[in-house]
Order: sequence, then structure tokens, then C-alpha cells
Amino acid sequence: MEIRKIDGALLNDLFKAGLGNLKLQEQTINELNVFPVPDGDTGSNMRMTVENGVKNAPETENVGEFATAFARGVLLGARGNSGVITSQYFKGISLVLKDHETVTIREFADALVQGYKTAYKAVVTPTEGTILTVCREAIELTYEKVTDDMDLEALIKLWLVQAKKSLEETPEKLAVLKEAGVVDSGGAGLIAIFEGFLRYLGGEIFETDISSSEHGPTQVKMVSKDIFNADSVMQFGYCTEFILQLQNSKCNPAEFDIDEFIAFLETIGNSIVALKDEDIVKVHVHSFEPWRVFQKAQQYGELVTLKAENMDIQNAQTEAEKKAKKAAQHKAIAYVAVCQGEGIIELYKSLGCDIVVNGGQTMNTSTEEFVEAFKELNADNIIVFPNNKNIVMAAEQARDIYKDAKVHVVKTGSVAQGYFALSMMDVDETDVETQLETIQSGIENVTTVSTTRSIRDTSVNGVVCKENEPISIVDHTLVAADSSVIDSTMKAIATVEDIDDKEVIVIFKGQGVSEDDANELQSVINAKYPCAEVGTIDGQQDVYDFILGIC
Amino acid sequence: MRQIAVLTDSTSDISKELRDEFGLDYLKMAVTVDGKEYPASLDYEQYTPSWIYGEMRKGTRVKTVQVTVEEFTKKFTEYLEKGMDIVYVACSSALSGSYNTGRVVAEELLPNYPDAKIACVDARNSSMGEGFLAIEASNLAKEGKSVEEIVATLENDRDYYHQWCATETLTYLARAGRVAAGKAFFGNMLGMKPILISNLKGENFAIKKVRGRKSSIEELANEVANNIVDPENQMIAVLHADDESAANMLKEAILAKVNVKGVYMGIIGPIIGASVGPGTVVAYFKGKKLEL
Repeated sequence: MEIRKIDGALLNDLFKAGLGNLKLQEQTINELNVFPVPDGDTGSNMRMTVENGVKNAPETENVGEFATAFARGVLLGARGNSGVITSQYFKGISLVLKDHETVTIREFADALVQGYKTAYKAVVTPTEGTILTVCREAIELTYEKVTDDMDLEALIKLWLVQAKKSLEETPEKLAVLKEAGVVDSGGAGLIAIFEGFLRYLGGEIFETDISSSEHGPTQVKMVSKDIFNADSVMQFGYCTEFILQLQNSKCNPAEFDIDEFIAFLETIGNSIVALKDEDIVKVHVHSFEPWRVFQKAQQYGELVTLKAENMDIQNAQTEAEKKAKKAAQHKAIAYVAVCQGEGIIELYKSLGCDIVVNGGQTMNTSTEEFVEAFKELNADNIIVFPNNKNIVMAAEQARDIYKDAKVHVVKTGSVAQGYFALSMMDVDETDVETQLETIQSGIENVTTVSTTRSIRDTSVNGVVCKENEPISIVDHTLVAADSSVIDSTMKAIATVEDIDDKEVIVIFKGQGVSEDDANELQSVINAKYPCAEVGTIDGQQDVYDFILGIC
Repeated sequence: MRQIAVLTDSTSDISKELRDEFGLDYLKMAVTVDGKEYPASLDYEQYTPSWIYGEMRKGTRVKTVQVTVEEFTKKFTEYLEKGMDIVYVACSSALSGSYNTGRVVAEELLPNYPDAKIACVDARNSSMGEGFLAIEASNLAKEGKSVEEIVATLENDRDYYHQWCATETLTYLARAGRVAAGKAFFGNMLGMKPILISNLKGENFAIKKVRGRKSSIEELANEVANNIVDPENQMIAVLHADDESAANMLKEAILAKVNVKGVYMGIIGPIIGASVGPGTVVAYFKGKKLEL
């Protein structure tokens, strides 16, 4: 199909296809990981980032309107550094498209140029050999070949040729990639999206999952007239669910066509989940006309269970509950942290964190998740402990978007740093500047040693490690590997600057090691560093067998 | 003119040497370790300080018993019989009931000794904060000051004695109900040392927390330097609960910053020790008027 004009509907289809193809390659991209630490989640991060754009995109022919809303959705869903950069790339694209009904191929190419420029600007110190390089070089080298009668497929093909060339060269530009023998994962993710465009233009259709949250049985409540009354205009419709027993008297259960039934549901509702298992059909749909759903179902059998709930009331009630909860808890300063591991989460709560978002190494918190957390709070100031360098950018984006409180992102690079910062502060302090100073002094001089398992045979910084072998990292540098978790950790500790003068060593024990291992580590440290006070906390984190905070 | 006996109690942590030098006597409290009661002697005839702190480290609950009516009656009578007046410098009434019991017993006894006086003074401090006040009382008595004059001076001067103390944890103090601290001082805080002062009310007040043993000692020395007045002419005290090296480090850190006349080194006795717990180190001195 020769396309020379791009409208909102086409762009919508392209991005759905881009997302579809990204999903197919998600795992492969995850494995393109420079570091032997299993934080290989670029594929998942980018998928979730783009997914949020697709999910929130409006049905519109207007390309500007579509692109703006899509870019906003992507921004809110941005996870991980590549996700954040991707969101800025699409934002740049939307800036060019925003005032257009439709755009030409040349204008679209202009948008791709603006895309990389905006992405570069978002990064404080742009690193070449990353997704930035790929999105820049791909269009730089394509742009001069753009002609007035070129169609979209030709543009995308040219773009992909250049992008792939650029991706292959990333290891030459970034030493860590070369040492690990991989190409840049973010760049690979972007290419997967554009490949999806091409596959769509070639006539392929991608399935998009329809997911919906499970609703448990709701308590019958008295409905207040304030929530829904004679003048209310319904906004959300009914959450409609039933189980249908197909009946021989009405149809041939074996031949009942679920796809046809879904096609009908699509005409009167959305958020559809419909499954057929032999002669039972289970359906979930949001519709303004639930009676039509039931009526249609009864043509094929009888309903075993059914319910239709007014979602306006549901929505108003949850909103009201949230509001009431929020009003009750106004604070001068509230605290949000990102942690992983039940023990660590509990610890953070006990030290005064209002919200602990479950996330971290393998599950980077998105901008949207931060904004959602902020919304639950009622505070003049919010202090965020990201506890991972890959989350700082998303937290900072959330800070820039959120207007109802002054948000401060402190640069805690690990749960250990966050722990020391929290234990230094006084939760009752109301002066935010004083508090930030205390927190900063808590972070200073804290070294983090983490021990995990290498995800493959590799060599980093001259440290050779085998797949699944314990490896230890000091702050962000891999320094040791050993067949024993204890020995690997001890080797790493020995490299910490002025280790003999350190006063406190806190061990967070992970799920992957036994209590005996933790006890042994503690006594070995005690014996080797008698000046330091050593303690163990059952953090129950995954990925890291041990995380140590040393100061 | 009647002579004046200056008494204090087990919480003053005042050594035999100092008691002899200043002619002081003290009223004994008691500790119960694992249900068994021992006199809270400052001379440790029945057990060593290490034993009691060792028991605490093992998790044995050590409880304290204030000066009993019997002990007050015995000691007060002893000095009244000698024809002496009594100034009793008591542990902070925010920490112990001894001050009140002392007053009650004094009122009971005095009708039998029409010319005698017993004055109970609330030190609003403990350990050597209380001890220094008792030494001051003894000096005033030697100068020939009256009971009333001594009481007036002590009730003024108690607002100038500083306690700067670093503990391992607030657990013991909190369990004994002998600390005023916000929730910032509780919870799992490895390596964090609460810093305690004795405030104007005579409470142990958690004023800040410092990370690490060395840093906490450095912080105490800084506070001594910031708050001390006329250091060249005063003896200060550094005490510890089973951590002599910390006490020595604190002494050296203080001497590096201020030129004091001298340092009394000592052990935190069983009563105060049972409250603050092993590993505590503390400095007492006279300085600027307390603000809190």
C-alpha cells in the first residue's frame, strides 16, 4: 500500500503494530545486557512505556491530536532510562505533528529529526553508542534521500537500514558494550518498533492483548444521592460479567463462535475479555447497555451467574475514599521510596516512609507510578528515595509533572544508602531544607556492596565470571567474582576505600541465601574489620544475595 | 555551729576516692538481676561491673530499686545522732522516687531532733552530674555556708551541669521509662547512636543521633568544647558502661579540643547502667546555662 499522507488513525495502527513487534522481541532485547547483573529489562521497560501510549491513545483522524495524546501516555508510562529517552523521542515527534490534520512523508521525516533532538536534550550528558545515537543517525542518513513522491514504506525501510547499521556500530562507540559483546538494548528496542511499522505496512496484523483487572465481589453499599441522582449523566457504564451455559436446545455448543460473539460485544462495549471452554462461556465487558449483552447471550443458552455494576458509582466511591483518606493525612513532608524485598519494604515503612513502591533492579518504576504515589499523599513536600540510578530519571520526570506538592528527589543509589539516609533523619521534622540536609549527610560516604549471580559467562573490568557465579559490585562497578557468595562479597569489601576506618556495616540478606550464609558473612566481617559495627537485616530481596551498606 | 553531712545516692556514680576526698556518703539503692537482689554499691564488693553488663548483653533483665525507707532512716539517723545537719543531693526526680522518699523520711525523723535540719535537693541530673553537685555541696559546707545557703546555690547551679551521653540504643532507657525521645530514635537503626542530654527538668532527652561509634565520640567532644565554661579551672568526668576504650577515646578527643584542669575517669554504676545499657559513654561538666 502506497501511503503519502499520515493521519491519526494510521499512526495509531502503526504504533499498535510497533508495540506488537516490540513484544515479540521483548525477551531478546532484555538479554542484550551489558552488565552481568540481571537488570536486563530494557525490552520490558520499553514495551511498558509504549504500551501506556497505545492504551491511552484517542481514536482520532487528526494526526496532531493523536501524536500529542500518545506522547503524553508514553511519558507517563516511561520506565528505565531507555523508556524515558523513548518518551522524549516521541514527544519531539509530536511537537512537529501537533498542529497538523495530516502530514506528508517529508513532514514525518522532519518529526523524526525533532524526535532525536528532543531526546538528546532530555539527557544531561548524552552518551554515544546508545539509543540516542541510533535515533539520530537513522534519520540523519535517511533524510537526504527523502523525495517528494516517496511513500511511507520506503521511508521506514531506509530508516531501518541506517538504524541497524548504527546499532551494529554501537559497541565501537561504547566500551562497555564491546566488552560484554552486545549491541545497545535501547537502540534495538527502537528498531523493533519501526520494524513493527514496516510489518504493518506489509499487511501484517498484530493481536493486541485486552487485559482487564479482576473485580472481586463488591459489598452492597447504600448509594448516596450525592454520587448518583436524577440529574446524573452516566460516564462509565456498567461493568458487566456473566457465565453462560450453552444449551443444546438453543445452539450447537461445539460450533458456538466466540470471535463472532466478541465482534458483537465490540459494537456495544469495551474492555472485553471473553473465553469459551467447551460449553461454558465467560464474559467481561464494559457497556452502557448491559441488557443487550445478556439478551444476546440468552440466544445461545442460560446464564449461570450474572452481574452489572454501575461504574460511575464504583468510581465515585473509590475517588471519595481516596479523597477522605488524603484529607486526613496532611503532612509538611511525606516520603516515597522504591524498594524491593518484603523485609526491606517493612523496614522502610517502620522508618517513616509513607509509600514504598515495590520496584527496583528488574522492575524500574515508571513516571506514572510515581505520579500515582504522589496523588495518594497530601503533603506540602514529597521526598523521593529512588534507591537505584535507573529510577532517578523517571522520578525526576514525575517531579516536573506533579504540581500539587514540591517534590524533591534525593540521589540514593541503593536501598542501603536510602536506609542510612532514613535512619539519620527525624520523621517529625517539618522544615524541608533541614531534612534534605540531614538526608544528604546520611547518604554521604555510604558505599554499597552488592552480590548477585552473573547471568552469563562474561568479562567486565577484567573480572572474569561464569554464568550463575556469584559476582560482587562496589557501587556501580563489578570488582569481584568467586564460586562462594561469602568470598566474592569479602573480596569486594576489601576494595572499598578506607575500609579499615569504616564504622558501620549493614547486611541486607536476600532470598537466595540461607540464614547460615548471612551469619557466616557477619562473623567473617566482624573478624576482619573489628572496628566496624556489623548487623544483618532480613531484606528478602531477590536478585541480590547480599546488599551491604558501609560507612 | 552544727556540722553538715553531705549525702548522695547510688546514681551519683561517685568513686570511693572522690567520696573520701570530699567527705561524702551515699544512700544505697539496689539492683535485681534475674530476680535476685544486690545492693547497688559503687565499690562493687559483690560483683564486677562487667558481670552486670554482660548479663544485660545476654538479655537478662536488670531492674533497679530506689533508696528504701529503711536505708534513709538508718543513714539519716546515723548523722542526726552525731548532731549533724544533712544535705541530701538526690538523683533527678524525673528518674527516681528517692528524692520524694527522702523528704518523707526527713519529715518523719525531724520532730525527734528539734535543732536539726535535713534538706533534700533534686539534682535534676544523675551520675556525675549529680556527683559534681554533691562535691559542690561539700565544698560549700567546708566554707561554712548554712544549709539554706547551700540549697539555694545548688538549686541555681544544677541548671549549669551538662550531660552529653552516647548510648548504643534507647531500648533500655525506653523499657525503664527513663527517656524523652521522639519516634526518630526508635526502630531498626544499626550503628546509630542516640545522643542524650539531661534537660532542665532532669529528664534524659534524646537530642540527636550520630552514625558510628567514633563519630558519636567526636560529637560528644564537640559538644563539651561548645558548652564548657572556664575549663582551665574545672575537673570534668568521663564515664562508661563497660567500654573503657570508648571512655579513653572520649577523654583524648576532649583534651584535643579543650584545656581542662583534669578528667575524672569512672564507671557508670549499676543503677544508671541498668537504664542506659552497656556500651554507653558520657561526659559531665559545668558549662553554659542549659537551654532545654
